[in-house]
Amino acid sequence: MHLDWHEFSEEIAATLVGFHALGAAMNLGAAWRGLRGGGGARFRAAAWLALAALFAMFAAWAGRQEPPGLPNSIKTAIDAVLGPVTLFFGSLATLTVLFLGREFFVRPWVAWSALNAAMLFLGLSLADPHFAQIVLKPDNLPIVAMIFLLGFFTWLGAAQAVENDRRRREGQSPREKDFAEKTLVWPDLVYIELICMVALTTLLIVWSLLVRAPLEPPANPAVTPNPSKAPWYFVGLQEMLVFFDPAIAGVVLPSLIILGLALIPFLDFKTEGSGYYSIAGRRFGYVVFMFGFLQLWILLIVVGTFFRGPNWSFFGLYEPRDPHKMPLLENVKLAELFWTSWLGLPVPQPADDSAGLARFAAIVWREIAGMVVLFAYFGAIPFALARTLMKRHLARMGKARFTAMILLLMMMLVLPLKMLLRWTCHLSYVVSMPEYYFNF
Amino acid sequence: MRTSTETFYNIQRLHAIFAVAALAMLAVTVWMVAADHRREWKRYQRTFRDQIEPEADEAAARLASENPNLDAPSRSERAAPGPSRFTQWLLGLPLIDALARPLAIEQIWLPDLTIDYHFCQVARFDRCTTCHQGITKGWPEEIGGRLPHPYRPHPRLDLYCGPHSPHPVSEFGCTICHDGQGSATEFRFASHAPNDPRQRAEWRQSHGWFWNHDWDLPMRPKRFLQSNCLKCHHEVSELEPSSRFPEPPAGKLLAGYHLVRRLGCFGCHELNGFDESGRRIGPDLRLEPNVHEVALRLLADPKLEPTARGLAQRVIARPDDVAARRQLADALKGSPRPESRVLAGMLATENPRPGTMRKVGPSLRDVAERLDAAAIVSRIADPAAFRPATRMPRMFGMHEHLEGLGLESARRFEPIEIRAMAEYLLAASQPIASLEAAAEGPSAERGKRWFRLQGCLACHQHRDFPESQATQGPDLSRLAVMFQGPKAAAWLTSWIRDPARHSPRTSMPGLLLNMPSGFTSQPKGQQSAGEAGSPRVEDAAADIAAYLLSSKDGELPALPPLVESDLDELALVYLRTTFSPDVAARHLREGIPASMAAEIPPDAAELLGPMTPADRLDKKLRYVGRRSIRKRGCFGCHDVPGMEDAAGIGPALSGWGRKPQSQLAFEQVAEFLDQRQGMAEGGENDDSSFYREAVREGRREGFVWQKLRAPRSFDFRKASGKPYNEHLLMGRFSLTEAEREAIITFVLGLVAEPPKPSYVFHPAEPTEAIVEGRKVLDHYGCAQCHTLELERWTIEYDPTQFPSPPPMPEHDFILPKISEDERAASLKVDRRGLARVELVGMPQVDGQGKLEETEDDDGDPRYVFTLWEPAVIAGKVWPVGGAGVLVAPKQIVAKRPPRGGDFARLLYPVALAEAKAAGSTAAGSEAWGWVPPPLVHEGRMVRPAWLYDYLLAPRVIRPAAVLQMPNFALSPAEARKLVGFFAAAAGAEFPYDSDEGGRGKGRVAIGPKEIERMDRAMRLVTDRTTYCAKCHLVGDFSPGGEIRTTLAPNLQDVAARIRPEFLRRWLASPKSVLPYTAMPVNFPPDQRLGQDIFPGSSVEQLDAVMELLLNYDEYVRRRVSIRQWIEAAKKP
Repeated sequence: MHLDWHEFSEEIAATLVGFHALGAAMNLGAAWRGLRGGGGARFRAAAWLALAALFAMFAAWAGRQEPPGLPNSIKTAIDAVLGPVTLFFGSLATLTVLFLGREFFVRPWVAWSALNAAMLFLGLSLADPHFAQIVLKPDNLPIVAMIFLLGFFTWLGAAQAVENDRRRREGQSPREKDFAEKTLVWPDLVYIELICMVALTTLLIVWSLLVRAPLEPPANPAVTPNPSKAPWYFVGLQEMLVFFDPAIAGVVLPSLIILGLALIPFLDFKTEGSGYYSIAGRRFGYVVFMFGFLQLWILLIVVGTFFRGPNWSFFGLYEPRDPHKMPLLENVKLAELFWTSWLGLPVPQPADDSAGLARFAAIVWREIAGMVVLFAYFGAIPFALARTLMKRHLARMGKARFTAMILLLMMMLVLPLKMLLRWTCHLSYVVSMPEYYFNF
Repeated sequence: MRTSTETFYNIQRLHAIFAVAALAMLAVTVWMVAADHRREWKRYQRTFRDQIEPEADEAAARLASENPNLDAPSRSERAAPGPSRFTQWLLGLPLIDALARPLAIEQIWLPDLTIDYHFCQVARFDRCTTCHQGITKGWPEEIGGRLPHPYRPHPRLDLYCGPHSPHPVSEFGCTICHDGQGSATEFRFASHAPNDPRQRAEWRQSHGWFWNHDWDLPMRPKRFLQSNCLKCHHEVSELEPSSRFPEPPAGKLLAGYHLVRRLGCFGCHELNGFDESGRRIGPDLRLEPNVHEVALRLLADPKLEPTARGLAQRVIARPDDVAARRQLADALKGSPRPESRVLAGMLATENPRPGTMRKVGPSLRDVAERLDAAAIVSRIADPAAFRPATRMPRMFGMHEHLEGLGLESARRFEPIEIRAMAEYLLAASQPIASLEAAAEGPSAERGKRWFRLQGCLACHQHRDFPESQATQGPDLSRLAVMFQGPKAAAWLTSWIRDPARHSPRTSMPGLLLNMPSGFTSQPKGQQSAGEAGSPRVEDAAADIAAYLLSSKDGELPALPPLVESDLDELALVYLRTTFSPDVAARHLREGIPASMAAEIPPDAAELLGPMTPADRLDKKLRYVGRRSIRKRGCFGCHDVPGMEDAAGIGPALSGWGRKPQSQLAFEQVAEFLDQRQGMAEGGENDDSSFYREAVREGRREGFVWQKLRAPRSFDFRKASGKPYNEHLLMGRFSLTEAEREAIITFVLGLVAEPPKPSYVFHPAEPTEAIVEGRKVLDHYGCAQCHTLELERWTIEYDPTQFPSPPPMPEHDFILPKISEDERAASLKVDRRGLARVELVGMPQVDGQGKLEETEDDDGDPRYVFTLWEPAVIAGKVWPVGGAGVLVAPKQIVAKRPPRGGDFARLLYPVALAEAKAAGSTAAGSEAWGWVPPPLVHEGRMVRPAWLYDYLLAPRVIRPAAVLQMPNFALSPAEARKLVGFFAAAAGAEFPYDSDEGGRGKGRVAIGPKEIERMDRAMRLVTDRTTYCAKCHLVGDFSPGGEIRTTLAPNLQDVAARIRPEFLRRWLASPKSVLPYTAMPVNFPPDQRLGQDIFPGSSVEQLDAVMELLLNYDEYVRRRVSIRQWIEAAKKP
């Protein structure tokens, strides 16, 4: 579909004016708050004022149907850089930096700056028709909102955890202990519930007046939509299908996720840092959970929603969604790599007339390299860890708990490892036994 | 309860937040109510109710009071007893308007006109009238037509929406014709479709319009509105203008339909009118089964048995003869030749609904008889170079989309393909012996005269005669350039004499060239005609051939040199589709072993047997040529020997109009348009910008547009990546922008979505006869010569000033019956005091064929209009056959040209001049009798049985005519359809039951009294001085004479030919039937003539002559005594 630039500018104008006006208003508010403070706050208030002016200027441009956007060179560069690998490692690196520098990043003005940066990026990008097409799709609006909400709540939790950690260091009790001795139902709770109700109703009415219900064409059993996307909360699962056999990605992994979440209270029985926000007290648990949630779940949803296009191909944010863009399918199985590339032999196949055990043995022989890898991964590595790095864990948790925990952990790590193997070595399956409906 | 004073939060602050939230909610609630109150359709309904409707009603009433000629429109029902203004105001207030319903969504429920929601038929709800409130209002055009949208009434209430139209809105709704989302109540969601970029921009401004890609059936843009007629009107020709709807109901669609028929799109693309279950889904334009080609192929086998040969010839002459076809298939079953068995299998294929269309190109089965390699090559390479208006598409040399490897291979292989195709055609050509030429040498000078007089120009153009613009047949101006072979002249002569002999399915008729013509005057020294019936010595066909081949302008380009390495490469490309690369190379080197004959595809047969250095090149050329012809589908238009088994190469188009747009392979066309064909071509309002946008947005109309314009451009940036063999193949036709749009309109209408049968158009019997007959008329171009509908002039006149018709004595039964209402209607005047009348007939023309102008008493110019139907003007009846109506140029409001007869009008001055040169003193109007006659009354005049025989085997009726009806080699079914058409078109009785049992109407039992009366009548008939025999041939008698322009039809055939009820009228007042006839009034009502021959009143005379003519056979039988013959024979 070719978009007319001029018509697009007309269509997007109202949205962009609203968006930039919102940015201006927010920064005006922040500046007003800052001006009432002193010292550094005043200095920062000037910065917010400048930002508010910038947003106001953008709003004015958008109103004249010349929406400010990123130059094409930058857009092309972003599209060129953003791939599955850079996204994965980029987000991992960002999370690591945020984690390590959390004392700095939880400061409100830093967070406010980050929010401004995100809004500027979004506002400037919305002037691109291809970006706008994806981000402003009525179905995707909740996901965009989710990203902001997620950022806010992650920041909120981290900020409180940092605060509690500081208090702990200074020998004070956590923040929650001070404030949450009792909560008054009347008037406090009932009143704020009422206010929330009114505000949310208002929000819903405004939403329904501004955005049409996302109705698509009448369903056609003969034509599947391309791409065919799961509901937003399952897009992450759908993304896993790229890397795993449907049985694994669709059944085993989701079951294990639920099982693992259910097991947390039994595996994590540490009382320290429990009942309030804290990082220092439960570093391992925090890191594992945040990695699993943000990196392995949210990131996959974001990739599936914003980066996957027709034929589930990977598209840049500013790239036209051309259904003719076909990924190069050159995936190999480990057995092929092992026998053909490394040993220079043909891949052994079970004889056509073989059956029963002999056939099974032949197939296992074919997949012998994968079998060894799997055994090493799920057997040898946990064993080695128990002896070395995680000695203390084993001692504290006991064998049964440790085994369950380490297997779940290894299973969780399968996902990023498999992704990396696919991106780097084009490896499709470590073990592939379609004869028995088993691929891993 | 006392409230606790202890709080955690700052309650004052919470109060403030609550207040803000509550106010915000109030505000958005008001916004919500306002948004509902201001919904688009409510605004439209309010405006219509309060402003538009009352004003329009008032204006219409004012107009009606000033102008009695117009029917006063009934006042709108809603306006009359409505609620008071206050109630209306109250009920219309915001929020209240949602409870009470002063304004409401109006919808039409159409359970039988379903929408296909993909395998699920859903009832249609059309809410269009919610906004289009005035759609059925019968306000006069000058009021309704000026209203803004959406209040404007439908522009064709006679055809649509109106309760008395064929498509009342309550039964048909809107979206069945217009498409769009009928259930929408907002402009932008109804999928309105702009007609051009200007409208698009306007709508975007005023309505926030956008293309809703989520609705599969956007409204048809105005330019394609007629497409949807095809949903129910499957025969298409029923959409021609008719007496009920003289304004063309679907002109563009019909134009597209005729173009598709003319260009033969169905040769490549199947246009099947039936689905698998045999249900009718749309226009059915399929090629007829090619059994005659199979039979022709069989005849080429010298070893064919004589019985089979006879059967094959029967099949060729009558392909619809099922019995002969089956017998032939049976006879061939045991044939030792595998090819014959394959052909037998094709003959044995039964098709319950065979196609009916003939291939549009000339047969190439005997092409070597007329063309040589250079001619074929130049014709294929660039058809338009030889004949700019050719129907043949350009297949080669379209390289504008190519680059790199694709361009290189096209440049190398295309000349090879062209050359190879020519060589194959020449090698496969099956000679058909030409007819013997006449003794006397041909003369180009005579030929030119024959060419003009014998009707060639009815179908063909020739630059010597620029006045003819016929396109039924090809332009013959430059035939000589092509026809250079040694046998070409003989072939052309033979072809003109009997085209069917060379191409059994040609629509070119066999001209009755050797029949005597009334115009015997030859160039000096060649006077050779004898009495009627004797053949001429010289051969007119040879003369015409000599004329056509006499002026040769231009030379064919020489054959380009053949690069054998490229030929080999192309042959390998083809062979590799069947064989592995090394086997293919071996076959090309050594030939395909004869033992493999049964396993290889038919085209590879050209390479069978060992290759010798002598035949190597020929064999390779023939193979490549045959493969190329098969690949490019030449057999879709031409009869190509060896391709009898081939099927059209293009995708089927039935249902294309609903092909999901996501499945259209636009490839890189949009880029091609931007880069190669420049945007400079069209500005904002140019038509092409509409289509360019359609291409960019991936819509169907853009796809067809580009396919017709640059069919290969879909290979842009793709050709280099695929083998030469897989390049796109569609050829480019020379079309104007309007023609292209007509074809697009037709193709978009092929939606294969017929509604319930009750909605599909099933014509009543007479209409069906007209629809069916029209197809035959169109195919053979009957209307080139014959006028099928007369000219119509609408004039405005002042009844007080208009002269009365001169009195004319007439029998009572001739006088037209006019009702008092009609008389009164002719006196009704409008505001300017003018009345209107429509005149049907022919305006008089002068010797040059120009409109004749006379002057009235005041010296003002006047045209003379000869009436063919009685007219009532100013309360007076103007009968047919009386004086012409004098019409001032400024009185003419509208002229509707006649349908058909272009050639007759072309020939009229020519015939007149020829007759004058031959010494005739006939009056101008009589010359109409020498040219092909109008057939408007044909159905009422002739007996169906006679017409049927005549159509199958035409013979001379009017010896005076310049040219005679040619023999079209109609099938009996076609002849039957034509007979039905003429009867239905003239409103005559059909089937004509009085023909039953061979005892026709008008026959009487002949007793002595009748014999005596007939004898007296016979004396009238045979009287040479005043009565019939003066002009008419009677039996073996001919009035003869040097100048035969007065010769009239033989009276012995009248009984079989003329319907009795018509004959009486004709005898009594010939001019009241045929205004131009030269036949005098023999039995005037007010005089008693010929009392010495037949004493009695004129009516008695008239009836006696009629009785005689109708019983001529019986009378003659009574009067001829065989005994006399025997007695005479006895005498020595």
